[in-house]
Amino acid sequence: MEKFSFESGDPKKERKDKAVSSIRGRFAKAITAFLAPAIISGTLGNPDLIAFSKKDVRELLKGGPKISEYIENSDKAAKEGEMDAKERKKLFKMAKQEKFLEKKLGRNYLDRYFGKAGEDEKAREKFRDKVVMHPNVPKEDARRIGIDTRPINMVLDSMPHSWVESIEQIRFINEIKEAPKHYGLKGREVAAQADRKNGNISYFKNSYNQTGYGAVSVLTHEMAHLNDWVNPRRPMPERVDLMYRTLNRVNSEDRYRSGYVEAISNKDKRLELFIKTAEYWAEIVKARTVDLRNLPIKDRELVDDYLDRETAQDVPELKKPAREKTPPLRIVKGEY
Amino acid sequence: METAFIFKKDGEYLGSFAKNDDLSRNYLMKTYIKDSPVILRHDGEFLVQESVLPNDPSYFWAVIENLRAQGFRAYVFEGKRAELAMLLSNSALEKEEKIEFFSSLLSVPAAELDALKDGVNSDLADLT
Repeated sequence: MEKFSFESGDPKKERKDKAVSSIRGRFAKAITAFLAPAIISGTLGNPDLIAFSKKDVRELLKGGPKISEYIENSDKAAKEGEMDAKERKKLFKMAKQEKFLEKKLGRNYLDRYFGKAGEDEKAREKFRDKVVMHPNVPKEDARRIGIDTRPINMVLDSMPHSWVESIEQIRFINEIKEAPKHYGLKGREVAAQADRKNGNISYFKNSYNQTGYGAVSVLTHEMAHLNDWVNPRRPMPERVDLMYRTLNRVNSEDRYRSGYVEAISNKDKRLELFIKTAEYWAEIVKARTVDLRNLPIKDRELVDDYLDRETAQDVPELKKPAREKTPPLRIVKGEY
Repeated sequence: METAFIFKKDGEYLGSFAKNDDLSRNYLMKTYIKDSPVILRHDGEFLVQESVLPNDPSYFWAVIENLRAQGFRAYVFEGKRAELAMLLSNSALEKEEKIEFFSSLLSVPAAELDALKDGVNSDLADLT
């Protein structure tokens, strides 16, 4: 009778387990070396001369239509304004990030696309109530164009209060909408329409939307656009930080390779960078839901950071009422 | 030059193709890409689905997105990262191990790639 022993393993298997364990260790070591957060170097001590009182600083940072003016003001305020050390550090970091964005994107594009500088208290207050108003997701309308609403509702249930309420309506339009042909290309079909001003998302009858992946991708991508740095409900340091961190990821060698972003090309390289940055944010938010295993840690951290901040703002006794009634369906006539 | 490494949902490795390959001859294209792949583009407030032909510079990316939409895992790497991925994909590792290391490879800093490749190479050499 053969005697059982823990030591009599299969040498080939042992060698393989040892190699796998060694490779695992090498990856862990390499990645850990990378995890120290990138910090903008340099801080300001207290300035020798305080040129702006606290009231002046508030006035300087009130905001306005152009972020380029806000950049100058926040730089002045960080250097010569009256504030405590913590505030100065935060303002200094924001001013440095703003200058970096201006250098990369150019003053004109930044002013045109960043959105109004400053914060909108009213917009922020809207999300501090105790009820999340989910947009209506009309199941029957969706079924008529071959879309399953379950994954859409699951996404809505998983998102922070403010993200959910950034969508006013979701509509399913029983129409195949042909888009104008560009450069002789055939087969351009509208998958969805997103009105960012009003927060309306309309799905059209389309093969991409009919897959769970497609329907969820459209929703998460558009939801991310509605909740990017343009949204004035975020405090300015957050808006600037979000754009700064996203822009730094777009051309990084270890970025998330979204076909959508990689295919963007424009003769004006600054405009291309701007478009890619906006779409990169939307794509990593999308990938957080549909392609998580393909999302590099840095992108995952960026998305989670911004989702967590807003989840933390949700009040604990939050109520989720039944979804609203369907408004009368109408086709939105868009202009190309 | 970017190279795509394709896995089935259960982790089985299917193969790879590079951006400058003649994709019409690739086994993965013949098997899994039935119609013209599409790419999404924003056209104002419209999200437009656009069919992409093989001579279009976006074709490679349209194929990647098409495979992802079908539930395949598509990892895209270039340079040293792609070399390391090729090493792992051709090794005798189990499918779960390959997927694990491919996912980790996404987050390895560029400065660490050379040392990691040498290390992995020597570990894999012990297996043969």
